[in-house]
Amino acid sequence: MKANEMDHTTNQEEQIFLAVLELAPGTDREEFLKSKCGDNHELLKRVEELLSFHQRGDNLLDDTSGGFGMPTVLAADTIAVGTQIGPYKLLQEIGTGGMGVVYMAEQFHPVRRKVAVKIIKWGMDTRNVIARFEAERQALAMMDHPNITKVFDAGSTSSGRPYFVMELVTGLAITDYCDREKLSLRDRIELFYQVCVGVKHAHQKGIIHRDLKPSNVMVTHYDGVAVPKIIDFGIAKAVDHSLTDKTLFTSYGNMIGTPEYMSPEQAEMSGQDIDTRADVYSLGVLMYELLTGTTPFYHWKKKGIHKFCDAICHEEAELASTRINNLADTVEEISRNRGTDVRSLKRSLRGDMDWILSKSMSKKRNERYETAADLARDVKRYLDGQVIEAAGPNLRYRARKFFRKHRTSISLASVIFGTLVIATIVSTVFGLKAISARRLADSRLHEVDQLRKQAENERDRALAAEQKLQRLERGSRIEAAAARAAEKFHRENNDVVIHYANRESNRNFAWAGDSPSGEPPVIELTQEKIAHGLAPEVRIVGVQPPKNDERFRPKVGQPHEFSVLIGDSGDVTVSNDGSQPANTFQRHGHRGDPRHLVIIQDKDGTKQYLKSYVNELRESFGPDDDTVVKTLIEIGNMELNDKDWSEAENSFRESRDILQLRGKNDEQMARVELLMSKAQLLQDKHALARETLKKGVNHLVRLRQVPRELVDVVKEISELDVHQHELQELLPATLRSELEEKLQKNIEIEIHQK
Amino acid sequence: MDNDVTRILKAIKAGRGEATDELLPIVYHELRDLATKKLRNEAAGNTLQPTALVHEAYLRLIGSESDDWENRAHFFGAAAEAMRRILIDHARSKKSQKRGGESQPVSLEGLPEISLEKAEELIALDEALNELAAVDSTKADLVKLRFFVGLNMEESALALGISLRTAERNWAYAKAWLHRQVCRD
Repeated sequence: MKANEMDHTTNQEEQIFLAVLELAPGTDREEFLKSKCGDNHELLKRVEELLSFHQRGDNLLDDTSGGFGMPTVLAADTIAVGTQIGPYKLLQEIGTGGMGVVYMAEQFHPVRRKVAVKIIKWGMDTRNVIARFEAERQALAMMDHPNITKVFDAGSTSSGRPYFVMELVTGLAITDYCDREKLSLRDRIELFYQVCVGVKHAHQKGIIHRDLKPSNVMVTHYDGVAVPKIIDFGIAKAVDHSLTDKTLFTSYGNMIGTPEYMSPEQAEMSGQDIDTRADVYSLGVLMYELLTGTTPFYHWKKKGIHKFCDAICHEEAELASTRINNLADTVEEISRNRGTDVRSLKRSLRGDMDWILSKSMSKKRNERYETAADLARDVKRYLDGQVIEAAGPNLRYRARKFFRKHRTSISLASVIFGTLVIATIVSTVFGLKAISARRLADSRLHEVDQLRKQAENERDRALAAEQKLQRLERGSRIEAAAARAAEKFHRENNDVVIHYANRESNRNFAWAGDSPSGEPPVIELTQEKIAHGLAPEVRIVGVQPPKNDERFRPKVGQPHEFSVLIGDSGDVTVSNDGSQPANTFQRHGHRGDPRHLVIIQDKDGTKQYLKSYVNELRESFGPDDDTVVKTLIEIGNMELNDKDWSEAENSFRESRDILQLRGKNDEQMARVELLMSKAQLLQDKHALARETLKKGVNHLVRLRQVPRELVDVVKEISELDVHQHELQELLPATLRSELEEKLQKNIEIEIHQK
Repeated sequence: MDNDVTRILKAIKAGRGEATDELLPIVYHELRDLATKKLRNEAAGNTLQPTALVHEAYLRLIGSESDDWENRAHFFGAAAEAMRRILIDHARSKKSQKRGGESQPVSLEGLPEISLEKAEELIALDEALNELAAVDSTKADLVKLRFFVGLNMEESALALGISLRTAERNWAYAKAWLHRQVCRD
């Protein structure tokens, strides 16, 4: 085939192909194709082939993200600060979004004030956008509500991009705000309620937002009260979907920004008119995110925008309470941000909240709340502990609500029992009334569902108890190891050792000095004894045991000893600077309060004690337990402080060997190698120190950062003059600058504290 | 601001079409440098956003004062070709690695791993794109802008100086055409 012939065929093929795509609905496609191709069967085949490829969903090109499998982010085109646009002077860029860039700007006429100017990105049909905005301007002007920001003006820049001028709101997106303030579920729902009330106002004026999402709901403070402000009312409609309105080519639909909050009817882009129920859906997604920390289909995001929209239209969202189960590694943080734990979070979401969310986010819009007002009403009912509408007239549900309201007088057992009795009566009555079989089946299904939920509850509770038991068990085995070591120390040295034990076991012991009988007197320290300075043979001095524990008040004015602080997990720290043990403990990177406190008079004794404690730990937990390593490091640190360089080196080597056997833990390995290198340097074993240092740095490089707790060690090594240049050489530039930055911060913090 | 790029852009505007050839290597190297730098600073597993990358390159090479769409159009044309080469290099290197050969030095270290299947798809698509360019360069340019830079339909239409409707029609046809071509091979 010659080139021009091919061009001609291609041209024909293209025209017929496109004509078919633009056929009015209902036209007979076969007929049309036949009439266009005539007896050119080759052409017909080619066009049909193209059409079939057009309809396939697996086109690589649909992922228009450069082949990286990421939704395209439309970069905004910035305009230089200082530029004058109409009566507004751009002062500062304050945000970017799918539609464009937002600036803080100053207006001079007719009033002088600061405003927000949103400049829409390139490529919009400016005239249409502004015309659409003007059309709604009258209605927008009628909106006056504390939770809604006003849109003042619209126009076009000299280069022809549309812009909108709005009331300036400074604050955080509602989701960020709630997380930053670690708001509880209830506080979040109360804030969300205000958002609903704002949207309700707009709905009453006949205005639909169309693009409700966290970045369009800013939280700002007025007189110390958090007020959510909805921005961009009237803008989405002017800008969004300018395409779908005017072309037949809905299947090429373009989307602005993120589809995460879009209702199915919007994501489908079928050109269906959008009404208040689209906003209700978006509000549902917003609340879902506020409560669970994720949007309903967030895991579809990475599959590309088309699959994502598909999920919105066809996939059922997980119940919020179920989602909590499937969050895996983020669930702890999400619960913490809501000031609660995983179990209570799940419990609070189950039931009413699940109902409200499901109703808001129904795929079919006639199953959703009609307007934001209805949603607001149900949220309010929830907050007031009343029966919500979303659950419908369900007798059992109402009964449950009733009992919950009168919980004080009715025990949980009787609630369950009572509910079951009512359920039985209900089904009997229904049976007598000869209700349809289907209804009965439904209620049985519900029953099963209910039982399954109960079982799940039980299982969760058992699991939590099991975990607690394990923690307790480990804690008490550590307590026993610490106590045995203390007793041993006393036996060998005939010295006073005091062991404050785990608070949960509520018992504290002292092994006191000589006793007439020759038996080491073990004294149980009662609260009373401690308060009165204890038994005569024991003098407890200068120690500040775990904070917040009334029993352990410091005795002022007496010399302090060495305290060995041990946490429930076996973390150990030695303190002798008289500061709050709990603070020392946490400063060393441990969590929580120390639970055991062993007090020994002198330094050598403390080291001796720690060594026998390590042995006890080995006995109890095995030779390579984490507690063994941690304690060995602590011993090494003490030896470093005492200038027992070679002893220290040995302790670090011992812990290094254990770590090596246990496999990768770069942070701990880095710590141990660095410390060992320091001990070697101080003994002038330069070659060895360099080798060790190299290994330590390799671990840091793998970590790609210098952990805060290691900054000091690195600093100390670099301060040992001779080898400063070696460390400089070994540390990659990125880590070095990070280190310098951290050192600087540390110094700043110290200065600040002074 | 008057640097190489603005000079070249002026030349292109003045109708000296051969200046386009000067633009590509500059944009290509800028994009590679930027990508390398970004990949180095990103945590492992993070991905690049071609659109953001190209926009940043634009700001660096031309500056933010210029609000001239014509400049952008030429620039994006060059950027699309550059991104295409970077990505196809990456895909090729992936393919040769899997075959047991040595990794080609041209590939950007640290680019997100792509599957062999995807790499092969990309290479096949690239070949089909060359064929399309031979028949209809406007359509091929549209695909490059959309696919390799991530411009949306309106932006691409503006860059190519065609109407949105034409862009949409071209896109539909090019998509089906390329898909057919890829499956044929």
